[in-house]
Amino acid sequence: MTPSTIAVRVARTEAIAPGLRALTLVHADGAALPSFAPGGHVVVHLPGAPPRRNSYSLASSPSRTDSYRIVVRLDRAGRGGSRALHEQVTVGDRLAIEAPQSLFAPDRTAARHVLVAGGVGITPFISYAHELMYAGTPFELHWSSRTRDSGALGAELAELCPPGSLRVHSGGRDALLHVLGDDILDRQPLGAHLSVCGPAAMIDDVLGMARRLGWPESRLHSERFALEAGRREPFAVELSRSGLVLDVPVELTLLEALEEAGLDVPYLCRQGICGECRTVVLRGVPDHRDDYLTAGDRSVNSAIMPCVSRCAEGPLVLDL
Amino acid sequence: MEAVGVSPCHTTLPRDEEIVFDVGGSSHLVLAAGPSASVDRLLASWRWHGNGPLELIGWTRLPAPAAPAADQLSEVVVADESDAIRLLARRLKSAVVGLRVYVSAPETTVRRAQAVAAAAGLLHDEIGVEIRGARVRRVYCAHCHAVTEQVSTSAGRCGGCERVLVVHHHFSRRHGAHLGFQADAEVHGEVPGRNQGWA
Repeated sequence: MTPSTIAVRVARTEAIAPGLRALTLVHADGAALPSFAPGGHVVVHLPGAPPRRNSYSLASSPSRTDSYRIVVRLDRAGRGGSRALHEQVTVGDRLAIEAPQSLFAPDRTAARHVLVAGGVGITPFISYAHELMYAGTPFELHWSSRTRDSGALGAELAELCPPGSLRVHSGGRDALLHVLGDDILDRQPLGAHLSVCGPAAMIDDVLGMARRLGWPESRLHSERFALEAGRREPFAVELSRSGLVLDVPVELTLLEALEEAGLDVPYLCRQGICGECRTVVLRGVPDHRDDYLTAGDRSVNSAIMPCVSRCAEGPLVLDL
Repeated sequence: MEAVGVSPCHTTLPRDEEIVFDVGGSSHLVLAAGPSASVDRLLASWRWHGNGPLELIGWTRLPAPAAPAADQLSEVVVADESDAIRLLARRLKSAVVGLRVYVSAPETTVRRAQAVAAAAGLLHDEIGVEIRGARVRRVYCAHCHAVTEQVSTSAGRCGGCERVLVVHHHFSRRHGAHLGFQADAEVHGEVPGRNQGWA
């Protein structure tokens, strides 16, 4: 079922780095916006056709109800959503967003947080920083970012975080892992939790290192940034109940193609995390790109998360 | 007691487990009230996989297993279980993430150890326990907050305030004790059957 949306107006735009644009959104009718848990994101309904919905982390204080801020990275290889938000949307424009939710909230029993961000994966940690400062929970924030990108947000975070708790690493993957492995993850007091946000490969590297140093799963948390390229090929999908056969082109996700065909597939996050859009597969082998299905689920190929996954071996037949 | 009914994820009620060596840990701390087959198996697993140092705290002398390297294993013998709990608390103060704790002892000691571990911030997948001997419960009195040890019936007298308490199927990991509530709290003098033990 399509969730209800909140009408918002773009109050401010800011170019914070090459390819990075911040948008400040206020309620179109001047009402208060819902507060949200740190790590929260909103699904933005983008203007134009075909209808597109992209998910963006809220890079503002969770207790601010007068406005939200999202940071959009321009993805030239993408399907045009981020391009629309960079090049077409201006101050005064109206957008529809869904109420925020957080699938990446910090563990409230943690005595300490180690936060690791890659590139634009810093955005959910902005809301973390506000919350943790308010709660007085100690944390350290490591941001792997090219220097030219970290300027404005870096300055803002440096002001927000306690002295010494923010470290920007501009030496790339190896430098980051070296620091984490030798100085950070091997000496955290009991009660610490590790949260990572960024590209999938970076998350795998950091969590892999933590596991090798003895971190149990209950202390490890991550949110994958959904701007992956990932090879896209068109494929056909058959809906067993209606008999419809749809073509899913390169520029649409399976979920979007189903929605365009008039189906009402339940969804929430559109990032492959929450499980809401889980659909039964009757035939064919999905190309699983989600973070929800277990290894067991994937191996029997009986389900697919259409918001992010595609087809590895067709014909793909869904129980719809 | 076998696991029936409720999934472990949905209850705080403790289950009997056998302690199993966690090869994912990077340091290990074992509390053992004397030798046991599962402690032997655990030490053998550690010897085989050898991930990180292991400290063994016992209050009956344990035969030291052959260690892969002498500095990987340390052994401390303490006088009794209270000393063991105190030493555990001290170790946890300076511990880092990567530690796994294993406790093989009578129920009272296990629950005290779990309470200390919870207070230090240890999570459920960082501690394994094995209960040895008779099942008895520690009961936390909802009224005077005293903990009464070694309760083996479904209702018992509180060691702090003398109330007769019904022992509830509700366990606090923080206190390491079951909840006890006054048996005749509703109608004074009406008390359910007291002397039902449990298997």
